[in-house]
Amino acid sequence: MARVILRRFFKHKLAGIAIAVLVFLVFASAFAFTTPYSPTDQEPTNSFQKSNMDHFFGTDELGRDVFTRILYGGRVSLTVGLLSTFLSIALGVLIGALSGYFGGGIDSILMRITDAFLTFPTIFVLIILGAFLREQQVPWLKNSVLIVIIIIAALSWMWPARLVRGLFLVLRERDFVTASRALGGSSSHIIIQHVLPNCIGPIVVSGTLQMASAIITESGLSYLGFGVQPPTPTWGSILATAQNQVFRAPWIAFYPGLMIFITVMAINYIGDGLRDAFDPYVIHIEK
Amino acid sequence: MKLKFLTLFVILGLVLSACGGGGGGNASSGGTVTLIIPEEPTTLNYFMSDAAIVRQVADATSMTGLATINEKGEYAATLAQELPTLDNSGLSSDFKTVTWKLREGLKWSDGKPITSDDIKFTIEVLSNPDSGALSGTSGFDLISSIETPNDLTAVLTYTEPYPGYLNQFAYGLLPRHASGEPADMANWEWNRNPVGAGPFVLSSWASGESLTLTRNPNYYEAGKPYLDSLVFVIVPEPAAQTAMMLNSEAQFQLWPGEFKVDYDALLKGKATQHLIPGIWNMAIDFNLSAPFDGDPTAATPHPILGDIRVRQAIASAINYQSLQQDVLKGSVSDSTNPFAYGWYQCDLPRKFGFDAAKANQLLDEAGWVMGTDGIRVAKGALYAKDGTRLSLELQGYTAFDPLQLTEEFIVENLKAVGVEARIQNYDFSIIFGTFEDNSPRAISDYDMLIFDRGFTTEPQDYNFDAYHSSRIPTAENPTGGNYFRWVNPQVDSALVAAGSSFDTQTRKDAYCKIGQAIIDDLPQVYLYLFQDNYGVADNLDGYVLSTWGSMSWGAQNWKYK
Repeated sequence: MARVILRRFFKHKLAGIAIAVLVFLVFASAFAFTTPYSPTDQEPTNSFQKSNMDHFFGTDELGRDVFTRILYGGRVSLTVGLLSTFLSIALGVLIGALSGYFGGGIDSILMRITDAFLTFPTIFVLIILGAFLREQQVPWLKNSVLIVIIIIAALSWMWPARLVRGLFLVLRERDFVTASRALGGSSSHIIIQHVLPNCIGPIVVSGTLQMASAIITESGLSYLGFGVQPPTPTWGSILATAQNQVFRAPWIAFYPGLMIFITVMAINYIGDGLRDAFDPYVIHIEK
Repeated sequence: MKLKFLTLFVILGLVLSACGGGGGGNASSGGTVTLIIPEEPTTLNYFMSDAAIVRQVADATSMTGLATINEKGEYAATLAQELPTLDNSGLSSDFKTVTWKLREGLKWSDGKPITSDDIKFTIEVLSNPDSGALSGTSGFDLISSIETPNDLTAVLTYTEPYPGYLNQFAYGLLPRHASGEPADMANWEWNRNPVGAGPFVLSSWASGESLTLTRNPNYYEAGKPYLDSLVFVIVPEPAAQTAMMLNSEAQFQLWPGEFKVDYDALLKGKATQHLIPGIWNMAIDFNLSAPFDGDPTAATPHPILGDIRVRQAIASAINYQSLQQDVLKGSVSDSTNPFAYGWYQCDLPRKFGFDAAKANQLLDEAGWVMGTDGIRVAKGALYAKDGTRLSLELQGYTAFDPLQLTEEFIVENLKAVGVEARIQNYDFSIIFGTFEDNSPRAISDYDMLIFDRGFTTEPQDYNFDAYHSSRIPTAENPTGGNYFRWVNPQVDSALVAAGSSFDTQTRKDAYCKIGQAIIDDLPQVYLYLFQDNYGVADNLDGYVLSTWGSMSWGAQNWKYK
């Protein structure tokens, strides 16, 4: 079965390429230290250089090498983007699946919790949290990427949860579920083996959207006093500060935007591949 | 043939768009000017807010006072016939009685007469502790009685001589008949729909979008304003603002995000960026008392910054020239002390200019030896335990690009001499919050704080609050503004001297003494003075940009070329 899924996945050529691109981005960020510059080295007399052989992506307003900053920025942005999306989707799918499959009391309780989270005014929750963390005199906690990941996931799992619940409500009434139940399939078997694979498509789409917004949200968090502080680069923060220079140096905004775009596209194609790979109809035909 | 028609259309289009750019082709008077502001004012009542944006709009409508401050920083009479001085007996010889005389025939924008009773009412409001006023209340508590012998005359008696007596009435007059109870000022309908004495009247306010002001038919200067209306559009995004100027959709832009050289090149033939000396003075404040010890007083010195040699080293590590010219592209001017503009300007040289070798030497002497990771550690330092890293938090407020650039630049400067500065930016509301809100600077929980500050033509209250040793914020004294916890008896007496004299030179000398003490003692390091920048369409005429005014100050004189 696993081999079938893997074969199906790599049959989707773009998915294969997307995996390669994502792996490349992760490695490039991990090996960012191999560039001749440091992400914080400044040369103010050499600011706003266009792309050239010394600075592939040009330089920013402080004369820092944009290429190096993009590579280092990938560390935070990819970590936050991938992990917070994964966490949010995992939690969302779990809650959505339980809620949609079992219905009744469980559904009511879980969905009211979801609704409660949806009603939180995000910005105020963040401000209160920021104030709380500020008073804990633990710098690593205040500025840790882990906190950022948890916060973003905690404020975004509700959408996949609602989505998955909706899908489960429809799918659990389908004949193949009834059949599996008649054959004595346990709830966990039915959920994992039969219903979930049919939901992969929409889940992936929602995940892709969340990934992009997580990368941007990360830079927004540092505006509220927690999260990653300057001068540590992230794609979101490079993009945010570049906005004011858009007439003078549009390339500074272009490159982080491009990286976010490439990452999101890669995730999308990987998602496409996953959907094909898990597609129950195809798996059964091939078996 | 087709091509010819096309050419004709193009030419016609160009001609039409050239006309449409401004006041519909109207040569000298009439027309509408669109002004871009980055955020919406919450009120048009200057006294009810401390946000700079309020005056940008209110100066053209609600906020016309007895006097104004002109572009030279001098007072000029507006609604008053003349400024009360010793020479015209408007100011009594004991400096305690001030007589204001209104011009004859003045009317509010609703047609009702402006009388001395409105002066009385304004004082009643601003001296009322329950009014909720946040700005412009200085000295009103010193007015003990107000006589109005006739409709044009108000005689004010002060409990003690108050040098800022002109400044008090330079911001606006409130109409008794059209406002409300003094204690209820926060809820006045007037705040969002004012009856004023300014050149324009608010005609519509589309929340989040725009404010439209039309000509005030009762404006006191005959024949003015020249324009029919002003439209303030709210556009937060700097690039979108400049795009509006590019498309001639607006004629006046507040604080453009681009440097002048880029702006002028981009908008050539359409608009020009004007730089005028501003009042916003960027400085790093040092906390001289120990942070995070639950004690906001100056009792315990800061383990690192308590040693003046460390502060001197930090001052010597900063490359001011490069910061001003390379990083901020000359959009700022040098500044060494708070008194960097106005009649009290003190041109004092830096004692600790950029000299990295000197900075290293000072730190060596102060018992901070270079560590293995390039950051110094204490070994025989004055207050810090051996092994303490020379690591300091640098706080600032978020979402202001020049501030962040400055922080990032200084972090590198300090790193070069073995000092680690960790940027920690908070929202505006946290940095400038109150003692009760646990704002870090109020409760002494910070190391270094960088922000821009400024004061107006009457500097006494601000500076007394910032530098007098009695103004150190504590639980008993939560509104104090001496966030450095700086205690300097000479400064204390200079502040008292500056506040008790009517002689400009005496006052200036006292302020310069304080400026010099700041340079010597380094409770803060001044970095640069912002210039105010405005983008103005090339076809607009008659405007005067002033350090002391807002974008709409003097809008009654604007017209299209």
